Amino acid sequence: MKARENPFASERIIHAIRYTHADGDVGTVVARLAALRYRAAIVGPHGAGKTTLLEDLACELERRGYRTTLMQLGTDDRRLPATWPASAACLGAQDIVCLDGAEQLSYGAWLWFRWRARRAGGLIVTSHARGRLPLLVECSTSADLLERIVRRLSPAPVDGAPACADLFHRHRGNVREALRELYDVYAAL
Amino acid sequence: MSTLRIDLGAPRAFKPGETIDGRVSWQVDAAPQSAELRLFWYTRGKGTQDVGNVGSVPFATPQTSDSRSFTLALPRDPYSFSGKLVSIVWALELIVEPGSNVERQEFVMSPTGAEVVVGESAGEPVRV
Repeated sequence: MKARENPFASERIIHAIRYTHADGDVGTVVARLAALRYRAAIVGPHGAGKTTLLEDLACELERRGYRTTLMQLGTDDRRLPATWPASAACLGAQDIVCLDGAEQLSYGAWLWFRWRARRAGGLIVTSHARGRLPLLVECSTSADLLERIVRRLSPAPVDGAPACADLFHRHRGNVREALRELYDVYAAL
Repeated sequence: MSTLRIDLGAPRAFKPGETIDGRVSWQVDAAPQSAELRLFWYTRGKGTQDVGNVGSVPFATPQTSDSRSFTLALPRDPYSFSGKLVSIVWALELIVEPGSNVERQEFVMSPTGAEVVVGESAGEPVRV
């Protein structure tokens, strides 16, 4: 199967399953964020939808007139962008800083980062564990959730595709990795 | 209800450097503030999506119900391409604002007029 026809291509996944959390849609999450004075954390394990929710929140906040700065840290690159200190000096009440992967920062680096972002109107982070900022949303996954996503992207199962329950357990609840495996299964067709 | 349309005529396949002549039309509920046609390519596949913006045609003083012709020159590359891991897809997108009024029309750009295909699916007819 060609990449552009693969139902599990990353673009299709993102468009088909824009994150809707069990506690409400993005508007509801923004309302909760406002109640937390725009400083909060999205918490959850790998592949649970934290990054997607953070990106959706950033889009919604831009739509409401805020300027958002999105930074991503991963296990391959744990350093903040070299431009961050300079851009942090220009932050104001209309700026919302979004940091994906806050757990990658050491405690000292986190305190330093939070201090630099103090002038921003908001600070939203994703993390694997609670504790860095007040909890905004706790993301979780289930085999049922994976099944719903898979059926939305590929209503008719194909021969050779693993069962969603099996996929979910083999990837230890990481929905993103489970969907990547399905991409490979469909690519081989 | 809004209706947007991009008419490229047939077939929807072009050679590198060729000029696209077409027509766009729209009917939207609210008076539009801007209307623009964008030419771009993007990747679709397993990894992070990449996008290359090539050109755009803004339409001055757009009306609620309107129709305009356009001409856009294609670059020499990249060709429309498909493998198992990634495809390069060319497209035109009509955007009428305010609101989420967007229409996308995909097409093929290559020297042969057909998508370049690698892997086991090579030789299949192109479907856009």
